[in-house]
Amino acid sequence: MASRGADLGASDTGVGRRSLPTKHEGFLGYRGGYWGKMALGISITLIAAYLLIDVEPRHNGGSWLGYTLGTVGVLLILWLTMLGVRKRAMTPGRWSLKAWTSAHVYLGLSLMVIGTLHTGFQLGWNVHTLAWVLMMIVIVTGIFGITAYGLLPRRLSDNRDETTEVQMLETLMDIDRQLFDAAQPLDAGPAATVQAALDETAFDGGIRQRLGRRYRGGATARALAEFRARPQPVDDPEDKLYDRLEALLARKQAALSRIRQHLRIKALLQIWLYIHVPVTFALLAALSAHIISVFFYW
Amino acid sequence: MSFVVRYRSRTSGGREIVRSSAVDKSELKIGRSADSDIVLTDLGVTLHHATIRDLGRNLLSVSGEKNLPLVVNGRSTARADINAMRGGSIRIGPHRLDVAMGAGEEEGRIVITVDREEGPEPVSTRRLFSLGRTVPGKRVSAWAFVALILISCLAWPIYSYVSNKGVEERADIFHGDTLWISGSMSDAHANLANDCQACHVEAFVSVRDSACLECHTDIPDHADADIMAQSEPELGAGRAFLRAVATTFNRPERSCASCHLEHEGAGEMAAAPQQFCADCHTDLDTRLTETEIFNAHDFGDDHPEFRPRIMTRPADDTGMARYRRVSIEDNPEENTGLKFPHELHLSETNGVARMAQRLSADYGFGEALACADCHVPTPDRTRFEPISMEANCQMCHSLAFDLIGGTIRTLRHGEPEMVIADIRAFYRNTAPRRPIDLSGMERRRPGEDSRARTVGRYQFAARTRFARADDAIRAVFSRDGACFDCHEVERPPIRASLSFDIMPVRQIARYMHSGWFDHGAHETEDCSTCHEADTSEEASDVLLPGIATCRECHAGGTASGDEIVSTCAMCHSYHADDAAPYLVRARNNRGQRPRSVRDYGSLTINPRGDR
Repeated sequence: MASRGADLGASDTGVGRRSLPTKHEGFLGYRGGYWGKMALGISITLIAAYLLIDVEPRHNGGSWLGYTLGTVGVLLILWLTMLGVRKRAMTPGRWSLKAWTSAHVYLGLSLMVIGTLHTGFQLGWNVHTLAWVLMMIVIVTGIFGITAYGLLPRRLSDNRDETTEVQMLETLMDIDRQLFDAAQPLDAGPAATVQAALDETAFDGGIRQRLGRRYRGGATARALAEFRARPQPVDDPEDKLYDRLEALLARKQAALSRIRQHLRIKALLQIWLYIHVPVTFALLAALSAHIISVFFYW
Repeated sequence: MSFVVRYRSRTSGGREIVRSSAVDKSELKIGRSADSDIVLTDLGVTLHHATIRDLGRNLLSVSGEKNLPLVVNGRSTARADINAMRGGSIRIGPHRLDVAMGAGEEEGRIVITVDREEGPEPVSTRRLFSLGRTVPGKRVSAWAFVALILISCLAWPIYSYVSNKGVEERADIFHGDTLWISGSMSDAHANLANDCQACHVEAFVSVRDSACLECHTDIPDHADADIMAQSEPELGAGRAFLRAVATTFNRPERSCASCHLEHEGAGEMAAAPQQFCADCHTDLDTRLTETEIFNAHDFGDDHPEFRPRIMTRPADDTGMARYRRVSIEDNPEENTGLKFPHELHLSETNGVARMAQRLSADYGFGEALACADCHVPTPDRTRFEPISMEANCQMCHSLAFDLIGGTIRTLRHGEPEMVIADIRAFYRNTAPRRPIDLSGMERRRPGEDSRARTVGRYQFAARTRFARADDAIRAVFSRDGACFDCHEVERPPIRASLSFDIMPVRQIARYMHSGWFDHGAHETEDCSTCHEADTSEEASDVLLPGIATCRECHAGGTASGDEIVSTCAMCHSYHADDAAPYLVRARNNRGQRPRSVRDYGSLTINPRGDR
């Protein structure tokens, strides 16, 4: 899915929209940014209403404007959450998933305005502000996700160089196999070095390593350095063997770093959803607590 | 150049079986057909799938037939070169062809090892490459968050509520339901921040007045409930809707909390907005036709002229003062029982001013009298202490009448019968001045006759001196007499009687009883800005300014330029008690003014009880 979103920012220019119905239109540019304009209009209207309507003694969630904003906000949040259900059913046309996603993104952004105006900028250490903070986290991770989807697929594609993930894995397995076969004549010392290189995979390490740009001290890199540093006696019969091993290790190293780069970009593409979705549910819980508490202690 | 083709397979026990065959060709056909040089038995492979050509110098080229795709060294392609020295691998379907240089007896040949093995499962690969293995799953963390929040922010506070229900005073520990606080408490209620149930008594029932009245026991109401209901205007559609919503959710009308909004931040609780007053007081007379209260909705635009309560008589037959509310426009005249021309006393050129200059060393007067020489602010600086004879008048208006051994005797102020008695005593106990011709060193006309006449007259004078008191008493209570100068004298009913009396004097400490004026707040101004005392020739002049004077600085709810926003609560108190209005109290509590709020109600600025 990530690799498909590379050109989600592209949109039709007005000219020839009908004559070129097949040209791709991303969800951001859907219907000429219809939902974007809608969200902008809603936000501006609400900000103006907030400024013009005089709530005494100060704006708060308990005024009529506050209750209205809160109700709109919670309905919007529930609807935005429904994308998770909706996206599993693809439909075309006006009610397409693209339209829904476009509305999800833009109305989600306008929720930032609605929710914040609902607070009346009265924030504190309480369940109400917790709900607001969770909402903001969800929105900000959403913005991060959109940005990632806009920027990263091209880099992912460049790095892949037209190989698939299965092929990357096969390549690694092939190299490992060849390395294993080629290393059979080796003594115990170098054999252990090669074994360590064979044992190295691209998938170990935690989230920091996934997202980090650097990968410290892999066994393959060490083996390669060790063999390259080996003194080179002239006409050693083992020379050819070591040349081959070096070549294989270099290939493994290249394959590993490609996979790691692939994993890093893919992690950047995916990580936001691992916050966006669970925090959405946390938000729903906090929102329930917020609403119940307000009426519990009315 | 020739090739060695090895087919490698495994038994179910894992043992390797290798079949080798040498092929001496420079071109190898790969495919499913039996005449291929490398036979790959898989339906995914075409009969002739690809061809390997020897290019010499250990270099091979691999090309798929009719552009069938191959994967060479992990890359999908239709054609590729492989250096056998460096090795390489070709994948066709599930088959892998490893290319390497032969060793030992196969030295110099290119060995192609054919394995059949399944590649990585696409689904498991996808999982392997996904982030899901590295971070906790979305579902798991979502449930964890939901549980955490529901327990800490919902279950725990409800537990706090239930466990503290009916408890008189909560334990001084952290209570879960304080997580629900929707904003800081105002200063006055800050001590209740840990005790939600002090106000929120019942769950899902909005705060009731009974909770407020637990502590605020003696708050007077604004008016009778039915009158207030009657004075409410028809609601507009929007507010009617809001009221319908409030009623639906069992939220009471006109409760304490309708105006007094809590949880709006630390500091003073904000004053109720002007709209709360204006709702009813705009065109009030159309709904309350009997009311004596004038319409008002904004000090700047719609507010009646001030109607101070004026004393029309300091004492009637029963000794009670009479008051009347009169508009400033109607040039009210008051009668406090005192004669006092302000103009005379404030003049800079007359005898009063000269007297002030003479007494300046003792009393701190300036070149002439000023307001502050007599009018002393009360401790709260809101109003002024009453004028007293002893403190403010007596230095000039002396009641001295006798000198005995260097001590001056004065008439008793405030007790007319004592004045009469003292004058009588004076004339009874003192002798007339001795005539000069009765002294030892007399010079007189010759002859005894003159002396005898003088003695006789003196004796008569001494005998009848007590009777002179009547004249003196009359004089003191009559025009140019000491009492008459300042007081209204009540003449005796019978001409011969001497039972003079003085009309009681009452001073008004507060004219505006529905409003509140704080002199302390106006100390930046001169007295004369508002009070035209220096041209007032009669004590009956009411020296209060009209509303126009106030409006020079005070605007209504909205102000422009230097004007001061002046909402209702600046001067008026909703709860009709004697305390200062809410805005004044709020300001005082900020430390700009003497602190004690409650003092406003019980200040002894008015000893005679006139308010």
